Amino acid sequence: MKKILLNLLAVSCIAMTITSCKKTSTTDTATDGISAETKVKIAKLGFSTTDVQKTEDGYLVEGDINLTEALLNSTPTQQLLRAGDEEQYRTTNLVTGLPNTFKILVSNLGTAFVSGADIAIARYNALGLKMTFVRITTGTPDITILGFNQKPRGGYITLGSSGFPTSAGAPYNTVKMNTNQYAYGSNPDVNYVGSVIQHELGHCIGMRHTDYYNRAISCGGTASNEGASTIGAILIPGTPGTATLAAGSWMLACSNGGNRTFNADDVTALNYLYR
Amino acid sequence: MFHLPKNILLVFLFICPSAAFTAQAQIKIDGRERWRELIASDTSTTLPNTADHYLVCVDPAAAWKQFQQNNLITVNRQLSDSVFIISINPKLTATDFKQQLKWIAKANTNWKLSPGLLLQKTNNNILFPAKYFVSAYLPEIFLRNNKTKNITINNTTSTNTFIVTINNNVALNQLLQDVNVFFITTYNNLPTEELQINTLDLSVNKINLLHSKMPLLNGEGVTISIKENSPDTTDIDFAARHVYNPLGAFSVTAHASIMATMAAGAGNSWYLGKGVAGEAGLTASNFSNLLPDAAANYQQFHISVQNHSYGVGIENFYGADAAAYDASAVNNDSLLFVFSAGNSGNLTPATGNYSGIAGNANLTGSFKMAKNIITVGAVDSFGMVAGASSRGPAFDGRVKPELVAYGEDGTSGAAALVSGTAAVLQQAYKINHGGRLPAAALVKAIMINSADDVAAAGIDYTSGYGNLNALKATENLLQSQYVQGAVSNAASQTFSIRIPPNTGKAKFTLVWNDAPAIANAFRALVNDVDMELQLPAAAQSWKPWVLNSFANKDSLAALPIRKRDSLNTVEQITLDNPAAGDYTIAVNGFSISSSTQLFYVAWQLDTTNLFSWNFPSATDNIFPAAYNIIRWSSDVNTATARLLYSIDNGSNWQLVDNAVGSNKKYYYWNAPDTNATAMLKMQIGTQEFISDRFTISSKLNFKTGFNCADSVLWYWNHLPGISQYQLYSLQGSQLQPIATATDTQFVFTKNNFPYHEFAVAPLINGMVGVKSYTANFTKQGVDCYISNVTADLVNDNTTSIQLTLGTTYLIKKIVFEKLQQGNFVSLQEINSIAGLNYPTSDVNLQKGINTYRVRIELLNGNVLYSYLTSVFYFNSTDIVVFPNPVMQGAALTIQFKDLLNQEISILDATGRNIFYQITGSTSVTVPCNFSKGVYFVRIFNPENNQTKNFPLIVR
Repeated sequence: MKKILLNLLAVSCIAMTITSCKKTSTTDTATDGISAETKVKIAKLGFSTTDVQKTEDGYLVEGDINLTEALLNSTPTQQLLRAGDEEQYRTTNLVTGLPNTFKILVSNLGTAFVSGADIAIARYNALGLKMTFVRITTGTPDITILGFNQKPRGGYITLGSSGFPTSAGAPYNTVKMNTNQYAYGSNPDVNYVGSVIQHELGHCIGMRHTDYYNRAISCGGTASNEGASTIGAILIPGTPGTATLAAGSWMLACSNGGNRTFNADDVTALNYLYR
Repeated sequence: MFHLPKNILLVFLFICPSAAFTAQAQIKIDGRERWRELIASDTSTTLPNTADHYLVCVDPAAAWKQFQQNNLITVNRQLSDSVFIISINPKLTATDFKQQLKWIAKANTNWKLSPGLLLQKTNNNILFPAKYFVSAYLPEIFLRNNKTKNITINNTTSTNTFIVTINNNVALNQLLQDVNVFFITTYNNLPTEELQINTLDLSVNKINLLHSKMPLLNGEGVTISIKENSPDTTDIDFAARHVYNPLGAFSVTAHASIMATMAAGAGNSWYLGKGVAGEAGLTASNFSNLLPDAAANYQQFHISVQNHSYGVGIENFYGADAAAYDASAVNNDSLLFVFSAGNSGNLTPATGNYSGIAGNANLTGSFKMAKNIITVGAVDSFGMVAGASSRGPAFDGRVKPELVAYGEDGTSGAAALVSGTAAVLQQAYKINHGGRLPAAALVKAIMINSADDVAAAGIDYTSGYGNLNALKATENLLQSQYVQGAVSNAASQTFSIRIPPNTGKAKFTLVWNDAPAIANAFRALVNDVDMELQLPAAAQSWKPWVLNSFANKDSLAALPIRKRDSLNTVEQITLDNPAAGDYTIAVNGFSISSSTQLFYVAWQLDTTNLFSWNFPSATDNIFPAAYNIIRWSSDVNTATARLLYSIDNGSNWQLVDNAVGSNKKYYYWNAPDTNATAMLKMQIGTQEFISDRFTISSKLNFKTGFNCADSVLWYWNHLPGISQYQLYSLQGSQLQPIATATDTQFVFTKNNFPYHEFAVAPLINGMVGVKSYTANFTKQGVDCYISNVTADLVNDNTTSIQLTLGTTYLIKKIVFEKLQQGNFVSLQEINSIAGLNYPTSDVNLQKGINTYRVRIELLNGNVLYSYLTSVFYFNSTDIVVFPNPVMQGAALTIQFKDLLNQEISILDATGRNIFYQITGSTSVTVPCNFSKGVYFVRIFNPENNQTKNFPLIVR
C-alpha cells in the first residue's frame, strides 16, 4: 500500500463515500458497499477487510492491491501456504516462464510518470534478474501504467495500486497511479513517482508488503494485520522475519513521500526468487 | 443390578502384573475414569440389553473371547488392550459373562467420534452446518435411513465412508444413535501444502550420485501422480511428460509445480530444475478429495507413485481416510503412497495418547496414520532434522515418519524426493522383471533399509528409519538384496544369508502391507509378523529395534531396544561389526487373521572403513570464486585429513585445508576463480580418496540478438580459457545438443531447428560445464534486430527517440525517420555502428501527432523497419479536442498537455449535461453516441478555477 499521511482540512469530503449501492438492496451489504460474502473471500485470501474498495474488475485491499474476481473465486487454492505471524514478503503466485522480457507502457500520463517508470525499470534491471522490464511507447504491453483520480480519504491518499501475478505465472497487468493533486502535486518529483512505480511493480511480480503483519510500522497509527497470517505471505530465506521502518524496504506498506528503493534484504529476496 | 467396585488395587493387579508402570499410570491407561466421556450418565448395566453398548474392561488373556467367537457379544471398538466397546446378543448369560469382566459401564454414543470431534463435543463447540466423514457398517442401509433435510450425504471413493453435511445437533445425534454408524470425524476440506520455498539440493540424498552413475534410471515408463492442485503444464522442466487426468485440479499452483519439479524435473530450465526422475510421467489429482482416488483411475493412468505434500492440522487417530489408504494400498499392490509428515514439529498435540507432549506426535492428518504408506520428514543441507518437521510417534506408538529427506523449508519437498526415488526404483525393477512393477511394500522396504541413520542413533521418532539414500536404494534393488515371503498364523519362514568378514554393519528390514484396521481403532496393526536374525553356529539371535512408545517425553526420546515388535508393519534389525558366518532371517506369523501375509525383507551389508565422495560427482558443477558445499560419506576419522584439489587432471594438487576436522561430512570450499575440470582429493593417513572429475564453470549469459522471420541469433559472454561452447535446444522432454560454436554467437535458421527454447554451456576438456538458463527467443523482447524504439515528448517541445538493438551483427547503417506529408524522411543517419543503444531527438515538431520509425540496412543489402511510434505535440495550446467535427458513434479524443485533474463536461444545445468525467490521464476518449448536432465540450480545472469551452459538431 502506497499511501502518505496527510493533514487535511477536507474531512467533509471523506464522508462522501459510494452512495449509489445501498438503496433497497436486501443483500447483506455493509456501508462500504462490499458484501459480507466478498469480505469472507478477501479474508480467506489473507488480506485485511478494512477499507476495501470496489474496482472495475475486483476489490482494492490494503490500499494498493487489486484482487481480481478471478483471484477471489479461486479462494481454496490461493490460501494454501502456511506462514507464521511474522513471515513476509511474497505471495503464493510467482511469475514463471523465465527468462522473459516484460513490456511496460505508460499510458497517457505526463513526463514525470514516464521518467518515474524509467527509474523503476532501471532499478529492477540493474539487479540482473531473470525478468527484464522494458518501457515501450508502441505495441502490446505486459503491464500498463494508467492514471486514476482519487481524493484523500481518512487522512491517507492512495498513491498507486496493482495486483499479484496470475495463476498462469504472468505478472499483474495494470499499475494505476493516482493523478490527484494531493498525491504527487502538480509538479511531481520523479524519484518519488519512480519509487511508487517500483513498489507497485513489486506487487505485479508477487511481492507482499514487508510489514503486512503490522502496517503501523510504515503507516503509523494502530497496529493492524493486513490479513490472516496463514496465507500468501511467505518468508524468503535469508531475509529478516520482521520489518523496520529504518530498514526502508521498498515493499513497506506506506511511502515516506520520497525516494525509496531496494534495501539489501529486498535484493536478497528478489535474487532468491528471480535470479 | 450389578456394580463393580472402583477398586484401584484390583485393577492394577489384574491388568498388567508384569508391567513396570506406577499404579497411577495404570489407572490412566485402563481405569474407568479414562473413558468417562464415553460412559453414559445412566449407570444401569442390566444385561442383556441388546439396544445398548457397553464399555467392558477384561483380562486380555482370559477366556472372554469365547463370547465373541460364539457371537454372544459383538466388539464394536477396542479402546485399549483391555477395554472394549461391545454390544450384546440376547442369548448371553449375564453372570457367566460378568465373571470375565473387571468392570463394565453403559456407553453413550461418543465412542463413535474421533478424538478431535469428541474434544469439540465435550467443549460444546461443534460447528454446524459442516462436513463430516461418517463410516457405516452397511452403506446401503445408511443411505436409506438417513434421508433428512438436515443431513446431506455424498459418496466417496471408499464404499463405507461418506462425506456428510450435518446441519445441527439433532442431525448429529440422529447419526450417533444410528446403530449402523460406527465412526464420525470432522472433514477437513482445506488441506494446506507443506512447503514454502523452492530450494533443491539433490546431494543430501545422493540423488546426484544416482544421476551420475546411472543416468538411464530416470523414471521412464513410470507415472507419478501429484495429489494437490495441478502443476503448471507449460513448465519446461516437465515438458512433454504431463498426462491429463480428469481428477486433476483446475487450479494451477507454484507449489504443485515445485513438487513435480522435485520429483520429476528434467532440469531443462536450469540445473536447479532437475528433480529425481527426469523422464517419469506426471499427472495430477485434486486434493479436494482427501481420500485415495478410485482404483480404476490409478490403473487407467498407470500411476504407481502418488505424492501427497499437504496436511490438515495435527490429528492423532486412525481415520477412515487412513483405513481407505491402507485398503487402496492392499488393492493396488504396486502403488506407493508418499506423504509429507507435516511442518508442525514444534507443536503439541491436543488429543490422543500423546496429548500435551510438546514436540511429539504432531503429524498433520489422520490419513498419515495409515500403515501401508511412507511419511517423510525433512532434513536440512547437513542432515539435521528441521525443527518444524513433524515428529512421531503415530497415535498408537508406531514409528513415524518412516523416512526423512531434504526439505529446507518444509516436508513437502522431502516427500517429493522420496516419490521421485520410488519412481526410479520402480523403473529399475521393471527393466529386470519383464516390465512388471515391484510391490509397493518392496520399494518401501528397500528405501527404509538403505536410509542413512540421522538424528538419534538407530531408529527414532524424529527421523524414523533415516535419511533417504537414493543411490544405495537403487543399488540394493538392482542387486536383488531382498527376499519375498508369506506366512500364515503361527507359521515361520526362514532365509539364509552369509555375512562376509569385515562387514561394518548388517541391516535387515521387514515390511508388509497390512489389512486396513477399522476407523478409530486403538491400534492400527491387524496382522502381526515378527522377524528375528539368528546365527545358528553361535546359538545367537537378535530381535528388531523397538522404541519406547510410552506417553512420556523422555520415554519417547529413549534409544530403541531389541524386542518383539507388536505395533509396526516395519521391523528393522541391525548388527554392527557382525561376525562372519551363515545367518538365518526367521519371519514368523505371530498373529495373522487372514490366511497368509505376504512380506518383504530388504538387506544391506556395509563394508568397514568407508570413504566416498558424494558431491561433486562427474555430472555436477562447481561455481568458481564462490563457496560451494562439498560432501562425502566417511566412517574414517577426518580430523587430520588433508583436502586438496587439482585442475590439471591430477598432475598438481593445491591444498585446501590441512586438517578438515573430525567427523565432518562436508566442507565449504571457496573454489578457484577459473573455468576448468577439477578433482578433489582427501588424504587420510596414508590413504587417498580422489573424487570424480567435475567442472568448475560460470553460468553463461545467454541472449537473443535478433529474431527475424527465418533466423535467430543467440549470443553469450566469453569465458576466459574456453574456446568451445555447446548449444542445446529443447526437443520433446529434454534438452538435446544441437551444435558447437567456437565463437560466442550462434545463428540458426528456423527451418533447421524448429524449436523455441535454447541453452548454451562451455565445453571444458571434453566435459560440459554448467548450462545457461534456457531461454525462449520469442520472449526476450527482441524482434528482428530491434529490441525497442521509444518516442517521448520532453521539455514540451522535443521528441526524444531511443533505439535499442538486439545485436549489431551485420548492421551497416541506422536511419531514424519521421513521417511528413505521408512520406518518411530521414531525421538522422548513423553509419558507425557501436553498441546497442542509439538516442536521437527531433526539435521540429508539428502540432498534433508526430510519427517516427527506424530503418536498418544490413551489409547484405537487406532493409528492416521498426514499428511506428508517435508523440502528441500541443504547440501553444494545452488542450486539443479532435477530430472535430466527429462522426456520430466515433471516438472523440481530448488531449491535455499537462496531467491535471480536469473535469470534462459535454453539454448539448439546451445546456443539458450529457457527459461528465474527471480525468486521471493526459488523454481521454469519449464515444460520441450522441445525436447529430452542436455541443460544447467544457473543461474545468479546479486547481485554478479556469473553464475552457470547445464547440463540437457531431455528424
